Amino acid sequence: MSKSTRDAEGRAILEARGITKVFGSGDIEIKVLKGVNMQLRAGELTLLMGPSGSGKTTLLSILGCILSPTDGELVINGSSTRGLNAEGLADLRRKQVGFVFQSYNLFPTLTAVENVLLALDVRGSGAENAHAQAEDALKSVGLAHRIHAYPKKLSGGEKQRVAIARALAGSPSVILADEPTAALDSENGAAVMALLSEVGKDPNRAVLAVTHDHRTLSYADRIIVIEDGRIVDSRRNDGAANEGSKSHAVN
Amino acid sequence: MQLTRSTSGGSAASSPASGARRKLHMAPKLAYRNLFYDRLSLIVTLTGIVFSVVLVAVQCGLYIGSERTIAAVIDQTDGDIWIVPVGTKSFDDPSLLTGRERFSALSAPGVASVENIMVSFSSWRKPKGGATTILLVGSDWTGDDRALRPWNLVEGTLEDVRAPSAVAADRSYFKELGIDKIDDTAEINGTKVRVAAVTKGIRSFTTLPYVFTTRERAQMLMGASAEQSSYTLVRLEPGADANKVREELARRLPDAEVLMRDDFRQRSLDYWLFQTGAGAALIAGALLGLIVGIVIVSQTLYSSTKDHLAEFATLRALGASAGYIIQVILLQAVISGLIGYLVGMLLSLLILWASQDTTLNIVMTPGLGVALFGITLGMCVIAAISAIFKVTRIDPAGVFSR
Repeated sequence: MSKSTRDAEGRAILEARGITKVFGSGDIEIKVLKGVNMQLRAGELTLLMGPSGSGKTTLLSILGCILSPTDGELVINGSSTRGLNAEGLADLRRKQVGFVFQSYNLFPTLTAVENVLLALDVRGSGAENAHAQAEDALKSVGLAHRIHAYPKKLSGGEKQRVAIARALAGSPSVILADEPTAALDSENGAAVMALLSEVGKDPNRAVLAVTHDHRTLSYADRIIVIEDGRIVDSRRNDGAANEGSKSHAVN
Repeated sequence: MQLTRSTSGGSAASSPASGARRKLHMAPKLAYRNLFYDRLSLIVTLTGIVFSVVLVAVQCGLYIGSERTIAAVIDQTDGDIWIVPVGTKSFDDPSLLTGRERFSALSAPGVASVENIMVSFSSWRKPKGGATTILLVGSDWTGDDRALRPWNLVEGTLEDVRAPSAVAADRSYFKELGIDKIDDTAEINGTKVRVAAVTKGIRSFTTLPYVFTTRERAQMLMGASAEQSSYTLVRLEPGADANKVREELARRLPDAEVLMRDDFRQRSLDYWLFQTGAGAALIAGALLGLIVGIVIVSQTLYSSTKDHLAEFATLRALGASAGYIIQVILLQAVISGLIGYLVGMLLSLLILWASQDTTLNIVMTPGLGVALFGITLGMCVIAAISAIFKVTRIDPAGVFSR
């Protein structure tokens, strides 16, 4: 995809409208999110940044349909989460969202390809072509040679790439990554961010990564900053300024 | 790094599901792998299940064996109505009838034939010294194929038992009777007898050995008159109304009890299994086995689930339904149950085989095998409830760093 194409804003795949989240009640009521409005656009990698306690993880949980907002509405690909119970949220999550976790969260008893197959199974994929899809997903993240390896035999970077392959399995429209580089050294962190950036180029997909790591800024198409439960900044990243470092990291 | 484009294409989530689509079945694989990943935990689980299966199998086997032992002579006797002394608790609780029952019964309408049976506790003096108590059973089998007779003969014949001084004894009681082989001699109530036939597997619930002989010889050994008997067995004419005949006999014989065969059988079972508490103890033992099994399996499954809680939370975060996760845990329980059942049954059959020639009558029937399979799986599923309870309360948001 050319730079000019990426400069044109894609359609909003995920939209959060006035999201509020309150934990507890009475004297111990804590308002973690205070009317968050944001969009994740197709073909973009968005970084969500903010200090500890700013509400990043809570927002990520809501955007991933894991938590329900106290108030406000989340719409993913035209489907609203309003009124959905836990199973309804799980259903939407299954169909629309892929996750990448900081600690990889791979199943230690399953091989790399089986980890991807499990995600496909959860998403209701049939057995036909599933193995080919899982292997393709692993090939696409550069792990063709590690398909049958168990997680304990993989390096941190390889584990995170398996996790990305798992998130991609079933082609969800939203990929949410929680501190994807936090447990990795700079080289592997760069490789994982480059991969997420590539994933984000898909015109039918939006990628959001929560991060503290400023070295990842160069990969972002958009940066959203959250502080004290409010979005304080949301802007397109200046691609030109960072192109050099991005290319360097990718290579 | 460049993202290589997928070649197989197709989106699992977006492509419409066709009705006949084969499932991936990763849940059984995950359950199986989780189970075998924690080897120690699996061994503890299986130990609990095997212990439970063996205990329940042996206790239930003993219960069924006891039923069969208690009712063995009644079951071997082809008769419709039993005339027994008043207050008789079981076949092994003999006393003497007055002696006029046979003729009263023979003259009753609907009666085809009548057989007197002698049963008595007797003293058996062993050939090499010492004595023990036996249950002497005397019956008339000459000329009546349906009469009570020693069965499962492995040495000697019924004709041999009709010879003077002849008796039949069971091999499982040889040691207790102080004999080694056929033709050994002993004394019953001071009269010399010879073991002319040997039976196999005729055990007594009271553990007193049954010794069979003819009715006349039993009467002689017991010092009873020719008319006296312990029980009078009545066989009905074809088409006769058993209840009417029983009522008529009861009217004619106010000093005896007249029981249908099944009633006498049930009375014997009730007495030994429930009035003495023996059966209740066996059932309690089986229940204890079940409870221990449930507790052990429940503990280990719960502990295994706790160990894998982060994985279950990940599954939930990936969008797995509660049903999918419950399926994984139930499959773990069922796989454990299957393996535990197979090992437990193998051990139980070994115990049965080892007890074959002892006085212990443990029985394994196909029905008991099937019931045990159901009980084992049921036990494992019940044991999985606490683990399911735990896993359904997982907060999938826990998968994120905080």
